[in-house]
Amino acid sequence: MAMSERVLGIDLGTTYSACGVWEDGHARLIENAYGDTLTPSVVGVDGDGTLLVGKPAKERLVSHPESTVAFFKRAMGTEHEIDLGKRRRFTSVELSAMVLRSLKEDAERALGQEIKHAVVSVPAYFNEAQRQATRDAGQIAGLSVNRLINEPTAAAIAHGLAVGAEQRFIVLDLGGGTFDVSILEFFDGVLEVHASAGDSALGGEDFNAAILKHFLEAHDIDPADLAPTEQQVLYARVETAKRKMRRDRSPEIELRRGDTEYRTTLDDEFIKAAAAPLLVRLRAPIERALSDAATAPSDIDEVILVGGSTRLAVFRSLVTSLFRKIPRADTDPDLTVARGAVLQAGLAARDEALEDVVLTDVCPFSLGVGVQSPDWPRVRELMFSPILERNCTVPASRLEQFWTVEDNQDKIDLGVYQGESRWVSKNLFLGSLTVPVPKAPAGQESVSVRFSYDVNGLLEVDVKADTTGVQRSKTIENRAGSLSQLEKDKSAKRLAGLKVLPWERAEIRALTARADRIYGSLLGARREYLGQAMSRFQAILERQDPKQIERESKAFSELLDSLDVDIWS
Amino acid sequence: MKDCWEVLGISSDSDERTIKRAYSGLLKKTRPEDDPAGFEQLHAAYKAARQHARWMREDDELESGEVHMSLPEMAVNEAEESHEVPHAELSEPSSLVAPITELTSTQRATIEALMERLEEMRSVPMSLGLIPAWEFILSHPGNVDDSFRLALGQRVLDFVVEVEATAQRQGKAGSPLHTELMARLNMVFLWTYHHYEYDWPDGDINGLVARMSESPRPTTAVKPLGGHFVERLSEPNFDDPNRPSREIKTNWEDLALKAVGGFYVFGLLVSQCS
Repeated sequence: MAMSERVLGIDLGTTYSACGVWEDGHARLIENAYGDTLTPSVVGVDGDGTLLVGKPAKERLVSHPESTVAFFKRAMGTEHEIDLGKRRRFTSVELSAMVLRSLKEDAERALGQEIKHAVVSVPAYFNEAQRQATRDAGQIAGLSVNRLINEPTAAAIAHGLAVGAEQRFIVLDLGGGTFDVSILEFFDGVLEVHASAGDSALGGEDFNAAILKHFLEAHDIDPADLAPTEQQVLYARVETAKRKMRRDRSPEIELRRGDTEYRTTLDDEFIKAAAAPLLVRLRAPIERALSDAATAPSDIDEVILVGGSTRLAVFRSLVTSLFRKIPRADTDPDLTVARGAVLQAGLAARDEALEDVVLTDVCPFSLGVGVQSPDWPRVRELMFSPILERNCTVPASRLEQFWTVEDNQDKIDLGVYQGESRWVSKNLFLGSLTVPVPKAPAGQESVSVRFSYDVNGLLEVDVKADTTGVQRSKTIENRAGSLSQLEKDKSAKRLAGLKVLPWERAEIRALTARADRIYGSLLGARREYLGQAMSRFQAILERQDPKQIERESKAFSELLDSLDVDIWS
Repeated sequence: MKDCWEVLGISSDSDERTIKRAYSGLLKKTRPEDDPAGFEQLHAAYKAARQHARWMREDDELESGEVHMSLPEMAVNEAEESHEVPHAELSEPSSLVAPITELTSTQRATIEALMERLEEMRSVPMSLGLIPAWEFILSHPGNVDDSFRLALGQRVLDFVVEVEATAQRQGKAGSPLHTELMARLNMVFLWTYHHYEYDWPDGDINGLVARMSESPRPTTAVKPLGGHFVERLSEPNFDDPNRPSREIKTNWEDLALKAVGGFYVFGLLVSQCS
């Protein structure tokens, strides 16, 4: 690959996203229009139909919940659509594409060249459909996704390359929406993933939701009585308080309703009581990863924490007591995955400095076919017969033989599934193949089935009837939730049709969105005061004098700082 | 067909360090993305060699008496004979449990109170199959403490075993302890990962064990914040609570039950594909 072909490394997160490129032997993270390396994964559409991505959209989450959306990564790979008002409906693939496009544009601006390729991180536990949806999002955004990299693996790359010593470590990644566990070993320039496990619906947002619920219970408030805006204001305060815990041991959460003021001090005890079920749930994936990797806790040399939520003191003390080791956190846990994705992008482009490291990853779930068990002919339901077991190193390819179950059966139907249940009905259906076989007594005719799973997570299934040699092959890609080329083109066109905020005006828009949000949270004289300042600022904007706007926006921003009691991040 | 030592180009008595070095050298020339078939062969050889070296080392340690077996010898031998899966290995119990400390009197009282509440549920058999009815156990804040969780887990295990046995004795078509419930309980108490003991009355434990070792359905995803949903998220149909439990059979390759006198201890066999 020529040097001019830059590959963008992207962490497409549930709450935040970040990107960067490999440059002069370093991972260079890209700043967005607001000078931040973290772009909130929030998308909105404003009154005049302009698309907002990142910071300005996040500011509007509280003031305009009906036309703003966050956490859509959790709906990845499902077909449901999210309504942003005025019959503008988007799937999570399209929303993710908007975030990716925004990152791509930031990078192109910073590097002064077009970028067409990317390495995108996904939770290790993402299934086939979710992985495909991520690729589709890239394509809609105009990025061909060279490789998907598992988030914990990316985190480990960021650490493993930096450390260099031979060791075995566990990566615990508690992000906004997912919890991932991976066990890796680094030696002689080889980074080997031994096992990955996770909980795809357990993250920092669940801690926020649990704290919020506990707060409402403690004050005997019925959540149904809260207006949507009140709920989101409270949610934002919970998050702010949680973040503040890093510096201030006991920040307060407050809610004012009518004349009553509710106050609670957020400390470790409160979180423990609120989030006990979540803390307990953290253990199962850890146990499974250790067990799959045949590793005892005492074999682990380092515990690496990734994701903003791992800053929680209760999480750290739990981990410390489990492994009896102080976890490492020498890189910013919010940026570790992005850094790893950039390193992988450099690896993919075979940049000199990275030449020496080879990564081997695992397939975190089992893949197999549905079979009728000969031992239990009465059981009508098909059993799952795994061909590639979870946590086997990829690329992997394995051959299995299956026989007919009925006399004079003239074809064998093979359903391909992903999952860990022994019943196919509880696993994810990926596709099916049918092969004709000669009529014969039951159990005489057979087919050979080969599963090949490559480094990019593509599954190829080859079936051959053993006596006739008739073959059928299928690459599993027509999964639920994945898009055809036509649909992708259509989506891309639709997104291209949306008005995008010009880069120069982005900062101003974030400022006004922030003012709107603060305006909604204030009362009385302060509210009126801010209202006047907003009208004044609007008038200045309309005069379109760049110098004056620059000067006034600085003053306006300072005014907002002074009024903003809850700095939300 | 070359054996693993020929593939790696080292002698069959090589130690783990030598194996790793040989593997890494060859891997640089046989990258997984460039030569999948070559890589698969190399990786299989590497895993087999490492496994062999590990066994050799463990044997040496056993001979020199450095390792104390945690289970009676008979039990270990039986377990090893019962699994014939190639490449499987019997791992040391991978326990994350902190040293058990004496429970405080408050904790003991809490456990008694919880068990009492659970016993009350038996008078309304319907309620035993409802997950929300178990929330007071599943979500109890005390579970964050290892000693508490283990003690409670032991009592709850005794309870579910007893309920299952009763259902079997009465010849009921289905046990109220359906898969999703057992999987959820196992997520909290990690019965299939840790070593718990229980006294099994008469009957068949396989169904119960199989149900607890199922992967639980992912809990409902929190809906995106903001916006409005146009469609409902469709959830996979997990398990029919009325399914006859007797038809669920344990997969013996996945799970080894080690017999120790009249007791059983759960252990997990780790089968690897290589």
